[in-house]
Amino acid sequence: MEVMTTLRLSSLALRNLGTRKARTILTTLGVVLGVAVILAVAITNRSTIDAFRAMIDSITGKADFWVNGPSTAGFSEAKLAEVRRTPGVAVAIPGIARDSTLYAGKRRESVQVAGIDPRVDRKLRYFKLASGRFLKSDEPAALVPADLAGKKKFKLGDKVKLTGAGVKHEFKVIGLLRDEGAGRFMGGNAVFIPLKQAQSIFKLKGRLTYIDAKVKTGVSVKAAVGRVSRRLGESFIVEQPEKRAEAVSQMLKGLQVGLSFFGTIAMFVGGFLVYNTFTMVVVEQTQEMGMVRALGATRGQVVALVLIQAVVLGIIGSVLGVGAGVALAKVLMSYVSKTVELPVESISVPVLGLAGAVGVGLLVTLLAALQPALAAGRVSPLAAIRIRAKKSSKALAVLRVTVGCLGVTAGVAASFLPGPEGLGRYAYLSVSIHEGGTFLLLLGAALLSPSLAKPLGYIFAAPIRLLFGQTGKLAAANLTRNPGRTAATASAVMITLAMLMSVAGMTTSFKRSVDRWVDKSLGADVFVSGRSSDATYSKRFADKLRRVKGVKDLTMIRFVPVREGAREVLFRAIEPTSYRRFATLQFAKGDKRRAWLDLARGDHVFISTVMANKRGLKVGDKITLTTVKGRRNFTISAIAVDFGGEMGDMIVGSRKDMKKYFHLDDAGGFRLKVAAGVRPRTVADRIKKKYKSMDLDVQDIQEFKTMVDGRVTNSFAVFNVLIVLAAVVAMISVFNSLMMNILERRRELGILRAVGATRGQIGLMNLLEAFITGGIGGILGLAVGAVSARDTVNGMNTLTGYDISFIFPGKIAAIALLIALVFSVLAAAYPARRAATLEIGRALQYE
Amino acid sequence: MGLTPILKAVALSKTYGDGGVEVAALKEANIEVFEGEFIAIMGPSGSGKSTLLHLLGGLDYATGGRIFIRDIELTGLSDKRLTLVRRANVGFVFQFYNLLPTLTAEENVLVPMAIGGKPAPGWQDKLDGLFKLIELEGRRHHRPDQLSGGEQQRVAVARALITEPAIILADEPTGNLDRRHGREILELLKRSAAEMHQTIIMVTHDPGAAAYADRVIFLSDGAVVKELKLGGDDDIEAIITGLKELGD
Ligand SMILES: Nc1ncnc2c1ncn2[C@@H]1O[C@H](COP(=O)(O)OP(=O)(O)OP(=O)(O)O)[C@@H](O)[C@H]1O
Ligand SMILES: [Mg+2]
Repeated sequence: MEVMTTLRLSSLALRNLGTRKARTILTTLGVVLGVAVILAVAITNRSTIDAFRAMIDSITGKADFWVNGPSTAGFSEAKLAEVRRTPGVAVAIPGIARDSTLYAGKRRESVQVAGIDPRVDRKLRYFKLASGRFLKSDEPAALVPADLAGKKKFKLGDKVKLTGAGVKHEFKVIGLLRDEGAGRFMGGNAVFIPLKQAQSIFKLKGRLTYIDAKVKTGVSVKAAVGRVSRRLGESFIVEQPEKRAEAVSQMLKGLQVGLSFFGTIAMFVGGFLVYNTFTMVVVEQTQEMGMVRALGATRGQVVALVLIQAVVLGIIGSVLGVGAGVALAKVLMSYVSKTVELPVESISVPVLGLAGAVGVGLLVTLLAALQPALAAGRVSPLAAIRIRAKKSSKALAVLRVTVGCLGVTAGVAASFLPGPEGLGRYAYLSVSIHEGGTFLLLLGAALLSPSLAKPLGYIFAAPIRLLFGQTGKLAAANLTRNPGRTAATASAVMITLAMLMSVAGMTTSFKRSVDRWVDKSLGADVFVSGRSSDATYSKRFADKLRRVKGVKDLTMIRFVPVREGAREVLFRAIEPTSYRRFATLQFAKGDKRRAWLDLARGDHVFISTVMANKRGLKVGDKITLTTVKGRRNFTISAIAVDFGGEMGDMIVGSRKDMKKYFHLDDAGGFRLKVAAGVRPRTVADRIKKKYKSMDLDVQDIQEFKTMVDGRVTNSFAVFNVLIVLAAVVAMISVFNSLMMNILERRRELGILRAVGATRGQIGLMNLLEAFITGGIGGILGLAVGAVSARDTVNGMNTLTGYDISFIFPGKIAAIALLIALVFSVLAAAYPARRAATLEIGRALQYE
Repeated sequence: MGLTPILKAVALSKTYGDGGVEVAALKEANIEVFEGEFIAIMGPSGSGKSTLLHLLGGLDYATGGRIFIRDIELTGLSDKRLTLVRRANVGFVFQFYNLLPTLTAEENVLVPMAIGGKPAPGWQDKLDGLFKLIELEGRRHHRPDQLSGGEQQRVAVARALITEPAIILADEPTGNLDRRHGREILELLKRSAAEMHQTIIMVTHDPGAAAYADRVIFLSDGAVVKELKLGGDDDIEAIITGLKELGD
């Protein structure tokens, strides 16, 4: 007989889990979701970095280092020989890399065109042909990734067009690349053509944009890099691939911190569900526990009884969570791909993240179950006999309210703390402060919610009582009778709503700020640029545009990627006089009049708030840029709000300086003003039609705003996935606690039915309870969300250096409240049915 | 019957309620119970019978007076010590909700052993014997919700007997049972009291059930008002008379 051996305390615990299957599954689901989100975030972060690494590797192939020129206009081919002559260098290959657009019939795709020297390129890069052949030295032919060809419906031997210097050029597809090596270059979006062809279509005769090199075996890469660097002069950047990867991970930091933050909150929500369940387990099993105590179990044993249940759930949940995490990672990655504009496809599972997620899953489960377990230990043996021995500890309630108040105060205080500028060098601390603040706030609000449940409940209970009479009265009474449980459920709703509000607040604020920036700082009606980001146009073309009917004014913009130390930043060259007729740059710091004068005089720049915050730069400081004349100092004359540059690092300088220091005198884009009474749209269409062959991107102000908004939405899309998850957890929470309500009140419901309550009344009563609970959670969520949204915006300001002012997302708040109510009632549907269809006899008979 | 009491309560008081209305359920009750005795406690509803039983078994704390199990004083013990004393010495049978819903009848009977950690030798024979006694051999693997109230009660009695505790406290154990099964339970209790020198204290309203006892203690308004030694032919009559005097 194995009864005795299996009948240990632990097996009693397991039995409890096994018998209450539905609840066990739901609780486990909470752990699963929490672990899954944390792991998914870890995987996504790592995979994104790896994707960038892989891209960089595919660019450089087997190269040990690469050489870049001082400007995008490239550098003389003669430098290749110099690199080759440098001692220690084994191989050096030339190349041109340019953004372009590929046309295959009517289909179009943004691609990067790589001009390679077919004779030597394979020494450092690996080409694997799916079909066709490799390039010959100088022919209008292209190698295209097979996947790209498939996507755009063209095949080997077809003719495609590539834009270069604003003009379309025809190339024959002579080889399709497998998805490896060069086929992965730029995430499989690169087209390879002979170097000579590239020089011709991009107007770079005798020039290169990069050199890849490999050192001889036994030679230190660092030493070789140093020698090449000295030989070419300081205006050239000679760099090892790892440096690039570092820069990339810096760039991704904002995204990662954001994701991790939401991952943590998801775990918090998961933990909350576990806490919720175990609190209910204790309520539900009070009689049992009293019985076990009466039979001689110590407090410790009863605590263990609960904790064992938690451990088992924690382990099962964590293991399943790993599986779910990988699946979820795939979803997140597809969204991140949009945000970072690079396909993130292959999954890399970081060991640390895996261990962390599982560990956190277990830990949170245990911690969440701890308080209920201790409460179980305090169950009196008499609980076995009494109907209900409800004895809430006053000291504990005081502690709860105290800690809750402290949490909320700290959370609110943190959201008012100075932004990054106020913290100077410690700006990065600001993120932790705001994140920590949100966390404390959530925790505090959750702790306070039992005390708030009653008064808030009245708001919703009053109309319910009026509308539904006796049933409504009963529902309202049930809630206020057990504020702890109501609060636990409401808190789950609250957290979800707070998350939603954070993201909504971030998106809304960001969009509003961008809109304002577009209106104020751009001041243009029509925007003209090339479809490929480095298309450039002559001054003569500017004159032509100026003469287009309806155009009143025009200013030229040119972005020049330049080196500032090891970083690449964008130098935005403007023509001060005409530019000022367009835009009122929003100056954060600096005397406006003097700033413009200095800029026009030269050797002065404006920098973006982003850059200033990130790097602690002030007006009057100097920054050093690598120019064709070597390193030059530029004085910062103003700090301006800007949303244009990649991650917001932006330097504004004059065209005069561009000509002087980068030997460039063309334009990358134009901003136009239209004459009074003329619709921007009309002018935009006119230009589009007139210069159809030039592959221009012409947008009127409305299109431009829509595009920017779309980008912002895209960037935040990944967070929406997390919100959906949180909502699922919250729904489970509501479901769970209502289910628990019914189990606990079986006898009561039985009596109600016995004395004549109809099924409909019982069902409705439960739905109404859910409605009020959802309402309480909703209001709390809006209050907390208003603060946490501020925190999130402030945190993002710090991370990105943007200067976004917080805007309360009112419309979304209203919708969110509605969703909270609807979801709560939806989650209650099944429990309400169960309550309504209870067998009266059985309900009265046992338990 | 031993000379020293196995269970003794001295001026035992219990007052319920804090702040609001106070209820004095027990008022300086004195009781002595000797080893092997079968005691019945009777009294009107609300007279403090259950309260007394809970205090004697260490389920609740007294607000005055002292309780001894042999020479161990229960009053003032930490919860942990109290639990261990209870585990080693006391078995309970309650009137309602005796069993753990997730366990089978058999497992329910075995719970006290499982909690104690080490099963007594020969427990399997004992288990078989008990199930034969309670006539539920065919229902050993059924869960409580598959058993009737009376059947659950019989399982609870078996559970109280499995560890052979020195003291068994039973609060209206036959309240749910029909006459025949009630008598069997009482026989069972009486026999084990005799054979294993177990001491039984049973609360009951039924004079017929009380007649199985060696002694009846009458409670009224929280105090012991009368004791009745049984053993004669007109026990039942005497008990009924005793109750009448209390105005029950
Ligand atoms: N937890 C409690 N709080 C307040 N008063 C209580 C509590 N438990 C019992 N009482 C009161 O103490 C008195 C004694 O109760 P007790 O349960 O001991 O009576 P009893 O003799 O067992 O009655 P019955 O025969 O009806 O079971 C009663 O007046 C009862 O109302
Ligand atoms: Mg009683």
